[in-house]
Amino acid sequence: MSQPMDRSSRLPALGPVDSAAGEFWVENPFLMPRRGDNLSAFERNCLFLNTTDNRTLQFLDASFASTADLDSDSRSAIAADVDRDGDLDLLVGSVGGGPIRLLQNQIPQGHRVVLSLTGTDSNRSGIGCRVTIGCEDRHVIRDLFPANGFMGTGPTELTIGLGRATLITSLTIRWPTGQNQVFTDLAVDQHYTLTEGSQTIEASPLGLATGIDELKTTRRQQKD
Amino acid sequence: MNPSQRVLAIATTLLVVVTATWLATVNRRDRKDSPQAASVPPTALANNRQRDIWDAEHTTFEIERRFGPAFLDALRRGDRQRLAAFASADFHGNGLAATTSLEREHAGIHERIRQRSPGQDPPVGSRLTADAIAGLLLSTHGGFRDPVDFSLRVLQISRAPQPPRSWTARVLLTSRGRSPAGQQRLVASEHAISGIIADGRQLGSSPWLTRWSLERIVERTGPAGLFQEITAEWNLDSLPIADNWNLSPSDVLQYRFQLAVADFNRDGHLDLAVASLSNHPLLLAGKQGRGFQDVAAAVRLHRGQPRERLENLAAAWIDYDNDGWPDLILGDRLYHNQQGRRFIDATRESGLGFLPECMGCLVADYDADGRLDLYVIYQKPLGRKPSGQEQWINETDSGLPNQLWRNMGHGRFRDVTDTAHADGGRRHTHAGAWFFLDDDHFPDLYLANDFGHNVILRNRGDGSFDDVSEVTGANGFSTSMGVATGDLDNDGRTDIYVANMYSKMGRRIIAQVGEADYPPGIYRQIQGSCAGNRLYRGVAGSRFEEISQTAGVNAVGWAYAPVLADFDNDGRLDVYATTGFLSFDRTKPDG
Repeated sequence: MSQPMDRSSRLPALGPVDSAAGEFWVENPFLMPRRGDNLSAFERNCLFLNTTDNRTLQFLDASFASTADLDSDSRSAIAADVDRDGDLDLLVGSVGGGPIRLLQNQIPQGHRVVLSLTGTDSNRSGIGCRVTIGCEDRHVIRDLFPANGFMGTGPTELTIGLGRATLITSLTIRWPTGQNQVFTDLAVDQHYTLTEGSQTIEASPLGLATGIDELKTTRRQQKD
Repeated sequence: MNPSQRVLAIATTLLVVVTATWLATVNRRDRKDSPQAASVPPTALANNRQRDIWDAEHTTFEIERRFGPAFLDALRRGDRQRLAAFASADFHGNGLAATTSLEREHAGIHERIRQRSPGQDPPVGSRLTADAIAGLLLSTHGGFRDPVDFSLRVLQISRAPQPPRSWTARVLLTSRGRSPAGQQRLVASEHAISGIIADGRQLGSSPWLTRWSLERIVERTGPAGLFQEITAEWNLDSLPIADNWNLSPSDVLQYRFQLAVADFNRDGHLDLAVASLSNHPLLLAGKQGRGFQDVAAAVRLHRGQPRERLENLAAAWIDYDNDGWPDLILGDRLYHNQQGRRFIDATRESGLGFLPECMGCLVADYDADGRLDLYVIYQKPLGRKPSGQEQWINETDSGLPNQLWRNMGHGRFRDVTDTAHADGGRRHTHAGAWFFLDDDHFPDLYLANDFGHNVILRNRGDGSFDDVSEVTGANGFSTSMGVATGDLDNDGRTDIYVANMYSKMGRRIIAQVGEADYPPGIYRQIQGSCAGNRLYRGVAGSRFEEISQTAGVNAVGWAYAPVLADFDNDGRLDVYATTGFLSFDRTKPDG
């Protein structure tokens, strides 16, 4: 319960310890792992789906239905389209319970684009690009910084969800040098390779998006 | 000191994070050698307050371990009579008489939350008998197809003034399983309970409850498996990386490897570089179709010697010469990628130098000259023998200076940390991220620190940085482990999600003490050390508002990696967050 303020001091028990029921007291917390005592053990990873509208950030705790709520001692996690179907899968790194586990995305999907950004004046990997996509009903803004999280870095491609939008009206890239480049009227569900300073577009189709209707968040509030 | 000893040293320093969460009962003795001892009032609580907190935590244990299993067994069996038998003679209960109900549906998941409307105390006439409460609990947590996982946890607890030996607590009851239709189903209900505890060891078999009031019920159903595990199908189930769960406690490590993803051979499949302390590095090449194959030896990332270990855990891809083939930092080495066929050690020519305490390399072009630079983050020095009086709340020099390496071209890097004012304040930095704090195209830095406030460095665009941590409002003291940035509401302002510690025990304890019990600022630090993950929403003027609890993303646990990614491609970034420190035995209680 109470812990010493510094590493070397010890704090004796201040009251009863029900050892018959498994209660234990460790005078110094550094001893816990060496004794094999659980500490924040078998905690489950969490998945929160963004259900924001009107700029008030809201999330739905979907952990219970996710299969991604591993109770391993997880450390790193990276979202990447490992199976190349246009949605983001999860690579989860853990120190206990299986070192690297791969979780394939099965969630109903909206439309999307995958972007590979090739810098010329800017760094070739496109790291530090800001992409702003305008569609019929929304703006989506994404930055490319692969080192994000803890003890891991993701790929240099951007997977950008677009929901129900079926056409990209405008796609603006702010390259790391600060130059803006605009593309208009692009089809969704494509993997585009875009090169700084060039309007040539390399495109390859992704699979069709499935389950868009399930992604419309509905809400109902009532007072009894 | 070999690498595994070093990492054990990291493990022990990290355990002290727990210290911060439980500081409420700290008895700061031995201060006489500290230079601050004369000016700072002692943080020790009076002995009787410490003992009160001990009693409350011990009572929590008895409720969770004695009452919990007996109560949940009756709930599991649908034994209404046995549930009601925990009530004493003068029991009264309350249902959710006046409620607010909120329903949401998204991605096939249905959620209903019912809670007592604010300010609506149940009218006296609505009191329910123990039998009626038992019936309510059975219907609330019923409707499952067997088997069901039940749990009972104490969220808050305090002594009640009267009668003697009486306690009040807020209890979380969770049931999880399948609905009759085969969907995933979860019910989490919160209850205000009171009772008289003469002997905690009798809680599983005695009528001790005097009050039970339902406060909030959350129900969720959804399709089974938003993700499907395919670890084995992709050959990731037998990697040569040691696993704590197969080792004795003396061999357990806090960290084992870092992971970096890129398509190094440009075959269209993603590849994984793994820097591991227990084995030689791995380069898992994604194969056509599915699966991974380790090609590290074939591309000459090691010579296949059994004891070929890395000096640190760093793993990052960086195409430093802009030839289109991602180069690799692995351990303390920089490797040049020879068109996806092999790697050549380019460390010596590069001028790069890493310390063993490296926690990661953050790649970006900070000066917008077209060449990728490197920010390297560090923990506190390892192997340093702690002085007896080492303070965990005192953040000055709690770690090492981080390093900013400027890419000079021609494969050379220069350490510009000092001239750029970029060392991050010599903190114990666990993670960091480049992000856009303001409207210019120069990337700024967020640094997530343990034992100190987090740090935000604004890139001035002239090659140097300003520490703007305090101005932004996103620099909470929260024993941070990880950070992810992204625009969660697509308003053009970056939001920041920081992984911290969420501790039920810490929150129970600090609810019983207050700011007045500590020197200025300390209570907020303790609060931050157990409040859980923090979400900072970007607002105008490069400032942030903290909305973690209302957004519902704080209660994760002993959290590490936060991920912001749009998993359903609906245009809104979702959150994945890892958690869990060290697990040994499912039958034993948690510390």
